[in-house]
Amino acid sequence: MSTAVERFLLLSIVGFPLLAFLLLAVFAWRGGRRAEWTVSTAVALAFALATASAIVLVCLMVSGGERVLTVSVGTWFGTGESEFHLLLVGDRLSLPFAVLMALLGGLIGVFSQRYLHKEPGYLRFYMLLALFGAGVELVALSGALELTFVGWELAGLASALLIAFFHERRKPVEHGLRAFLTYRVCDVGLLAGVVWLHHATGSSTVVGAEALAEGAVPGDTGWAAFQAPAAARDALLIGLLLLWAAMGKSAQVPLGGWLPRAMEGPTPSSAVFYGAISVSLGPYLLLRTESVWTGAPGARIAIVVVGALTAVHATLVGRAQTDIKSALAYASMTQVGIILVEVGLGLRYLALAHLIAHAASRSAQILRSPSLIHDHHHLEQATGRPLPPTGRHLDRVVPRGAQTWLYRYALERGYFDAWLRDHVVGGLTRLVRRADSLDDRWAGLLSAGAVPASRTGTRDGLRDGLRDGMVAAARDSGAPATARGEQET
Amino acid sequence: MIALVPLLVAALFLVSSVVVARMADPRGARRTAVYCATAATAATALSAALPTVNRFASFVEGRQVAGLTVVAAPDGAVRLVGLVTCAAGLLVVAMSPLASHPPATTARILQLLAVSSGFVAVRHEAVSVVLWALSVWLVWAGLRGRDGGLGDHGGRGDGLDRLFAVYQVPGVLLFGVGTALTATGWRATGTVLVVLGIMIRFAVIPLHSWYPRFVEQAPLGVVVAFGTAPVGVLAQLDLLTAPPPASLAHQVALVCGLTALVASVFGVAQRDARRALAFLMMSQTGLVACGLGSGSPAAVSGAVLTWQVSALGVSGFAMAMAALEARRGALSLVTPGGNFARTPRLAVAFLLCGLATAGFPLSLGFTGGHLLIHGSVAESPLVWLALIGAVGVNGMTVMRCFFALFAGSRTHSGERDLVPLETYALTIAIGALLIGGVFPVVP
Repeated sequence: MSTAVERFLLLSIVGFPLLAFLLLAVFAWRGGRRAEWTVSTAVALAFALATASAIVLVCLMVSGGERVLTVSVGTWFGTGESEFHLLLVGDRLSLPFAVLMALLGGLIGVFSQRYLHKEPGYLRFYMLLALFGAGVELVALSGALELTFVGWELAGLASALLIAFFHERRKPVEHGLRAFLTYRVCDVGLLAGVVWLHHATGSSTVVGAEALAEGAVPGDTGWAAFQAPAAARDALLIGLLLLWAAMGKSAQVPLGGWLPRAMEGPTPSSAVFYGAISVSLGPYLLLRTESVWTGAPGARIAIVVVGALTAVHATLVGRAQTDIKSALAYASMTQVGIILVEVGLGLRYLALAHLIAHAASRSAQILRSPSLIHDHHHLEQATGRPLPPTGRHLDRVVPRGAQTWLYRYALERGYFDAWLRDHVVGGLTRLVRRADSLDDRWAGLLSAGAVPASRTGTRDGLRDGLRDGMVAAARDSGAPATARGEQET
Repeated sequence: MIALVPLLVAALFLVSSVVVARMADPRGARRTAVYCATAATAATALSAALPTVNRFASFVEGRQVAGLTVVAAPDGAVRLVGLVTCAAGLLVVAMSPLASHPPATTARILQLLAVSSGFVAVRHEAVSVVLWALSVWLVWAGLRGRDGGLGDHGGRGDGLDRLFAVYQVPGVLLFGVGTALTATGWRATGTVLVVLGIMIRFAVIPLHSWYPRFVEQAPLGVVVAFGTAPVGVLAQLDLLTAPPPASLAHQVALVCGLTALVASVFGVAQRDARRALAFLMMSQTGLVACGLGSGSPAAVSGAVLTWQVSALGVSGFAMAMAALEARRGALSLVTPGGNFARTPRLAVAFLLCGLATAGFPLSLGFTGGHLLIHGSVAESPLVWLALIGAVGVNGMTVMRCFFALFAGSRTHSGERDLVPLETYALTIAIGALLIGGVFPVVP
């Protein structure tokens, strides 16, 4: 009986947000209009039920002295050589994180009822919030890395779409795209790591509680763990691939340029995504897979270096920001960088506590950020004098010449964005377009016997000609020449 | 072997193409084509489901008639090829814009669908070669505008017919000669020639230069219908060729995997929506061909599923793009210039079809991609890393197109959202992609 209840509770943590998303998605596709209250209540209730399930499950496991609970829902699909297992795991790593996500999701759901009142994208916001919640719960509770990837992708998609929530403005759209591209580049690392681990160890699911008790996993991590590859080289490469995946999601140097830009989205989603949960997924992944890369000192060093560089970079850049949400974004980057250092040093419980504390406090800060000036005045009135400036000790410690250089460095956001845009992405794009242009000229030569003017680029003239041709063809065939929007459909 | 249901479906497509070609009203022609495609889809769905019901098992067993094996519906992986082809056909005819798809073009699409069904209906080497050549001729004749089928814009102005012929005539010859050699005992040589013919048709790099222009300039309904045709052949490759030598299969998998990756990179860098679509389609066919070339059962299953996704997802993506182009005009990816609020359903359909194509979780594409990648690990690290890269970059292309075409602008040109006919077809396609993703049937 108890096992069945625990099984239901674990499944429901993921199931409730997913169900809310599916219901809203079906309503949206059918074009149904629902009252704001109905939409927000459905999502908030789903998160509330998920929170309750997670808390009850924790209580049951603690009272029963259970350390790890694994629930297999079966095999999703597969052939003999490769199967996709639906395995969820509840332990002292996943359950606190699951409670945090569900709780914050519910709070954001309630908060946004008023914040987004009469916003045209109200239903869209709640749908994406539910999708994000389901994705994160899947990442948190997954006992198979393939399933982690599913949640990872769902969370990334919801995140990018919410950054572009105000879709009529160009900047949020560009920033949403930038975030998605960064995620996708790094997700390749996660996918490659999962495949490699699967084929190096024959499995990418966590080992059971019995195996943990028998010491089948090197270095007791205190929670469910994956089987480590036998070869150190495999451990190192998989560790680096997982780090690469974490770098994108957690906005680590040099890929973190998307995070301050992500603040273009609605404040509630910024609070839960970029202040709290989304940026925490990288360290969470590394904590969950610690058993895989713990035997590779190179992977540990890389994690510490990336985290430390990010922390230093973000704290410098954050000091030169002139808007509160950007400053908070860099503050988040700093803290996540420090958490990565803790993960790399093996301070897993400190990292977990840091992760949860940071997520809770940062999301509260971001939710409060629109009232910053009001709060500032209120505080000054209460103290009866202007608030003292912060960071004055740096004036004394850092030499004058270095201060100027650091200031420029901070203003330029460490030159990383420009370097990526001009040299990495820009260089590759120019190369590809040149090759494409040559290919198109070759096609032109074959089709017309002469080299046409370069067509790969702006081709409005050609396309206009084609469109005219289409219209002419339609006229010849008797199609009514009415207004464009009507005649084509 | 002859399969009766696909044969009847092919006949239905042919008859309706004759009817449609004689209609003057484009709306009526499209409606007739949709009725026909719906009936064909329903018939193939029913025939695919029959073997699962014990009561009807005897109906689907093969019988010998005049030396030929006659079955109600093909079995194995081929069973779903016919169904997916019809569903893709329904999507194409329902979403073809009237301006670029007059009745003659719609009739030609129905003829191409008849050819695709013919591949499934008759499993014989000589028939496959004839159908292969017929599908090429149908498109080429349309591009030349001899019968006004594909209109002026496709052919004479830009020499697209000539470019098409430069690639496809050798492709047909290679396929035909290869099949003949295989049948006469020269199996190794024949296999190589057949593979070369298929590579031209699949626009595998470096035999691809015809394809981006074809997608850019031909009506998208024709492009999609032409793309569904050769898969029936692939499903019965075991009849046409000997099992390819391991080294050849490995080379084919490698070349197709690299094609998938290179095409995906070219796709994400495009400034023009149609050209980006062309490279996305090339990348998908590269993935399919790579999986089929790989020896692993998981990779082959993944390739078959990826083809199903391509037939439905890419078709939905392409036809949604065609619908938007008809409403708005030329589509550029240089800057975001759409308004999601004007066409929310069209935008969502575009995104869902695209994400399914890119192997996004909870869609059939994810299942296909997962099996394909895991199955190809044994092939070589280069192949599976190329596949992972291609899947990743294709997702970027889809999202870039979505943001550029449906967001970033307050203004709009009064374009309308999906009409009921389009909603009907897209709901079926998206439903199949999502339900197939949650409850996949792995061949």
